[in-house]
Amino acid sequence: MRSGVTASDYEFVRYQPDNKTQVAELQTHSWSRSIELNIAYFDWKYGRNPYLAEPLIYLAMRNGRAVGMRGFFGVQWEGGNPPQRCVGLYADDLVIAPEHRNRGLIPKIMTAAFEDLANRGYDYVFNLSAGPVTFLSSLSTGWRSAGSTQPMRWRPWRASLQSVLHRLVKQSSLVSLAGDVLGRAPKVRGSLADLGQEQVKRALDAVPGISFEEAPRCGDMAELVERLGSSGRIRHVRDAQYYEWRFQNPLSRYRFLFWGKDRLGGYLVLQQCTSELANREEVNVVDWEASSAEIRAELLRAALALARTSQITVWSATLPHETTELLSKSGFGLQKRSPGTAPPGPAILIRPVRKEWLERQWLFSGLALLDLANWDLRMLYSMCG
Amino acid sequence: MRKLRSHTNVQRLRNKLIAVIRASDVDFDSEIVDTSLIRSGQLDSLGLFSVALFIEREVGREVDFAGYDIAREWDTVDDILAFIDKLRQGA
Repeated sequence: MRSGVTASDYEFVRYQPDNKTQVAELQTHSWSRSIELNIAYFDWKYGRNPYLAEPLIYLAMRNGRAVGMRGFFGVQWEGGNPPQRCVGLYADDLVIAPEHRNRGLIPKIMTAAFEDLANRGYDYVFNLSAGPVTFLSSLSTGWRSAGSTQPMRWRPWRASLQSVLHRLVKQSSLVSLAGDVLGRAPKVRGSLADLGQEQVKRALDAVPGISFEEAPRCGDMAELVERLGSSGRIRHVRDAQYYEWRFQNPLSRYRFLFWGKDRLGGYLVLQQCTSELANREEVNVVDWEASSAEIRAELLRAALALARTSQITVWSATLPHETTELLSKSGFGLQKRSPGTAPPGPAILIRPVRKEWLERQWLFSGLALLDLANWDLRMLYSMCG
Repeated sequence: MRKLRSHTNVQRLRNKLIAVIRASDVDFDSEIVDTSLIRSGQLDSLGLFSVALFIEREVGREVDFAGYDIAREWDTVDDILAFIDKLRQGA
């Protein structure tokens, strides 16, 4: 039975420092079950963000309690020829406490947010991690999509065998053998944290020249990105300051594959979520750069050897053809979807802050923001990675 | 006779759609055909998602919702039924 409470019974406000614990509590529905960990995540994402001096978070309050929120953290895009840079806002962390859903709070929070952000001089907001639920609700409030991130996934043979057996068991009650095998097969599980020295050594024996490290080499990585140059497509500025901040995410575990000691020839970053609310068995390739096709292939080979019991996902939407071909040859496949099921992977969503810009062409540095061909995307730019 | 069958099918589809919306905890008067679902904010994120899955099941194919103005085309039960009809006709 509904209580008759409507959106007009709520107050919509901008975050103040004394709301922090309430935000951490509210985000036990989304970030993690631990309030302490949520505070650490908040401090990292909003408190130490290199591009914004203060958190831009908008809350729905009821009887003095935060019951809904949307946050905006800073990002820095570069693109065009000659390249231009701008600080943008990434809309994230949409959550409404279960007992306050379906009361029209999301449009009200967003209206309050857009009014304030327009006054602060921001032009566009972005979201690269919208799942199907946020995607539809965003489309209904003026956001538009540049397309899907097109995740490609590699599955270890054991996980593939298990899903075939699952299908057989579902299709026929006579396949008792398959059922037996399925019951006895160990659950596919793999954590980057569990990789022992011996395992790493064995995996990397076949790919000499590559090192596996737990800490990023932020300066070297940024130097390589700068040395490789830009195609002019829109991408996040990846300098040492960005990497130093980005890899401190307390809800993720990162591991790094490097080619070259003194002068970096390439790197590949593996990521795994650590929150109990996320899929902790999946490993993502969140960033990957190389000075040659051979180094790129060797880094991927090393990643597959290391994470061999985990599913590995990489966004393929804006990768060059030769890289998607390399992924296909290495056993990665695009995730398929059937009608009536959630689409795989997040979509790229954009919206101007000002309502009167909705009918204009949305541009950055002369590039159409809604044209996927103008983007050079990495999972690292989103909070999926 | 054909007209009657078509009317019954539409009624059946309407009832299924209303059940999907109500399952999303939306309390609305289904007798009022122009009850606003989206602009009023009654149909929240999860409800929209359920409606999207329902539409795809009914038309039997994947739909790229990014190409539509959802706020306008799904705002009432009748709008959603018209949207399904449009997709079935290949739009």
